[in-house]
Amino acid sequence: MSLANLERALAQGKRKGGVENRPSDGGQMCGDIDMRIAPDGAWHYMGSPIGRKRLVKLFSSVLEKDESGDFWLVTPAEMCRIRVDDAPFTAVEMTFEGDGDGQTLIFRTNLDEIVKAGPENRLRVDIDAKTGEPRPYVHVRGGLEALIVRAVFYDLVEMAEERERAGETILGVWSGGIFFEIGGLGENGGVC
Amino acid sequence: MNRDSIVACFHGPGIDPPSLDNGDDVYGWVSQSGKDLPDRITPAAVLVPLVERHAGTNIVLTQRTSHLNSHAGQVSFPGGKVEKGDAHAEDTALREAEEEIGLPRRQVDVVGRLETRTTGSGFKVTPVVGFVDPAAAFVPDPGEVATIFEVPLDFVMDNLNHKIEIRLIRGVERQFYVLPYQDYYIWGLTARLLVALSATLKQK
Repeated sequence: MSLANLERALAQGKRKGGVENRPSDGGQMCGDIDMRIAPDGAWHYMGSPIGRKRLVKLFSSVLEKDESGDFWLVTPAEMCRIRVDDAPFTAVEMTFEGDGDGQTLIFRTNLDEIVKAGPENRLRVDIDAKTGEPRPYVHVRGGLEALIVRAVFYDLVEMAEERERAGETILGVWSGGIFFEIGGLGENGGVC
Repeated sequence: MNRDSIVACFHGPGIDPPSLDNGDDVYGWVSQSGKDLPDRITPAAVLVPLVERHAGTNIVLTQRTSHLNSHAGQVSFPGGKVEKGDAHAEDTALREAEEEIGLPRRQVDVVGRLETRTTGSGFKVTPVVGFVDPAAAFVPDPGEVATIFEVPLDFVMDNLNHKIEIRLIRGVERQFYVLPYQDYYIWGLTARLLVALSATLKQK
């Protein structure tokens, strides 16, 4: 497997109608390839970073997640499993439109995809079991999420509203008509 | 199966086998019509090394070096692209086996080929089957091969070991062969070739 061959196959697969037009036959299966998306969203092939953003965008356009949580590059001709350390994308920028419950949060991913948070693209915040740090995500497409980078998450916390629920203070943000909870207020006032 | 009956299933070095009609390769390459094939095809070859041990015939496989921690490398046959100077697929397969597992070509007795397979990323792979001198010592090229191991042919010939896995991607079922052997997860092209080998040996 060479990167050039894969690139060619993927480019051709897209010309032929992308991921929808594909047989469900196992002959496509190429198994694991030595490709990995690091937690910072950088793609690596055979241990080296893939520097060309155009190429990374091409690969990401055929990225799919299966129902057991594995990630695949899927074209009509081939499907190869790759490894994703955290989320396949990062959300590196955020803007907003409107205000109050009419507000929409708009994220830009590291690969320049634009995502409006709402019913289709939900926000969620996990708590890292080891560090206790929040791990915020926004859904991008087809089960693929972007990890919201720290600076953007701080902006999100900044604009969050407080709500009382069962004696607890909940922090959340409005987007696309949904109040997304992003954490609670701890006793020391920190987000938890 | 003994060596003579295995050899009888092949047609000798350099000769493509008659098509299996894909009856047993349901999960093999989809279209011989070529409609899904990539524009440019890179010829390649692999060696399917058989070796006679006391308990029976084994197949030699490699596990690739992986840069993914906690993710074992793909299991595959020794092989690679056809290079300038390779006279035929046998040359490529033997040269790659020399490079990757340190197997001298004089210790391989080629008996024939399996049907050519094309991969979605554009490789047209000719599988070359050969018997390896049981005295041969394998030396992995650390850049490419993490481990070399052997699977009993009896295991591969048993259809119950040809598992079909299904993954659901956006509601579409994807089926593929997996041969789980010990801690090794054999899938992809290697699984397809093992299933094809099994079918070829059962033809007679």
